[in-house]
Amino acid sequence: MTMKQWIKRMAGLAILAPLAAIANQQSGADPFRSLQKEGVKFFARFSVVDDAAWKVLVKQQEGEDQLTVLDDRTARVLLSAAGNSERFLSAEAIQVGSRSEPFLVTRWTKGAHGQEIRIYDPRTTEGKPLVYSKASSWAIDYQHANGRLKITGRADERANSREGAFEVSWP
Amino acid sequence: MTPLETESGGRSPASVSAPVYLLYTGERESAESCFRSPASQVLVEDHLPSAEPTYDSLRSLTEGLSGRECLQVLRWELNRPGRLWSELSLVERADRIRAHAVRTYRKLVSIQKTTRNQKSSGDAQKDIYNPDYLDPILSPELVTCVALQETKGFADLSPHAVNYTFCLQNGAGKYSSSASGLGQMTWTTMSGVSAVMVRPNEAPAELLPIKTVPRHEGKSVDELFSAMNDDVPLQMEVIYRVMNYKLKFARFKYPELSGRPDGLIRAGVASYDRDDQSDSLKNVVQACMPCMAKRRKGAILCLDQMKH
Repeated sequence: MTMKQWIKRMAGLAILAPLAAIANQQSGADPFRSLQKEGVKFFARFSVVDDAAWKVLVKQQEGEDQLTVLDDRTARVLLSAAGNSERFLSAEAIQVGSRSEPFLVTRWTKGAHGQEIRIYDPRTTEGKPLVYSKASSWAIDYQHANGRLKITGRADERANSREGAFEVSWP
Repeated sequence: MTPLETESGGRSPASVSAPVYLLYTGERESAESCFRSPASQVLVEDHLPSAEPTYDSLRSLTEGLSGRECLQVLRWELNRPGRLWSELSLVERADRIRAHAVRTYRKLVSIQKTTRNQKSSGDAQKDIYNPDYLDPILSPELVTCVALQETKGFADLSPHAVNYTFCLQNGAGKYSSSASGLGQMTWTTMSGVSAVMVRPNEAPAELLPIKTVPRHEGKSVDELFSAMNDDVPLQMEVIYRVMNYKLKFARFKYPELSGRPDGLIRAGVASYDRDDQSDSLKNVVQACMPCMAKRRKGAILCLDQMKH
């Protein structure tokens, strides 16, 4: 094959590939299929503060949900954490108090019906990046207001009453 | 009561709106010698066929209601005649839970014996993703005690159990918990053990293959979750599958516990039910399981020993 023929063929493929992708979408093919095959459960680029942008990836590997946070500019791994037998539910970068560096607030399953919030400080150079965790026997929720997180959940199994409900603030 | 259905799962047209019963013979097996049925023969209620699954109908009935109104609907709906076990006392319900746990365990062991992957591979991590391999410390005592712990008090040991959290709404207006049944299992948990990715571009491992209840084989997580609230054998198999996963995961993650069954059980129970601060650990491991292993009848007596 001459160079000219090769260039023609590549040009043809370059046109056909997007067309094939569109055809797949039109025929109902799941655009997330390839991500699922790779085990990707979550991906986001957070730029709460311009100079502290992260890429956050959660991928299921070896049966565990693995959380990885990369520095967007340098691609350096800032944080790597495993979910063990629990499953990832959500992630959000949140600024707390007067600190410009955000924290990564994640939510995970906890047991058959519980949930847990794990808060990471990916840029920490001292101590462990997991700076706070709070488990609930049932669903857990949080709201961000006035520079703090208000976390609500249930602390025990007496689930048929308001007893056991908790509300904590962090930090 | 006449048995209306065989274990093969064929549904009688006449039984569409009636609870279905199975004849449980309580045959003795050596591994469960201390875990026989309370009587030589007891009827074990099977499932409640209905046009609309109870869980789905509860969601429809309570949609848009305030928390208080939602709870009132739940109280009425879950206690009305015709629901599973509505005619049973608490004592009878506790015995039914135990009888179901034994029955499902026997089926799982029997299935394990017929599969190629019945033994440990010697690799604890690989074993996690082989659902046919049952962890040696998985037992009917453990599963009975977990079910008692999950449904004591508020739920009166009901297979239809949903609780206060069913009616709670979070900031987005969505229901906060789908926990349901004897295992208080959520859709999220079931989904999390179904189709687990072990290696990229390989078929995921199915850790929730329903094999003891033929009428549910091959169903999706959505279908299983909807059906589960009306189906005690299905609830039991799901509890066994999730607990089996948790125990094998603990065995892999904490190899130092491999020679300490008590430590592994504690890790498994803690992993199933929140954390080691919870009463569930004391209730299930310290109070209920030793009691259940000694008693041949009266599961309720073991429930009485659990802290409320």
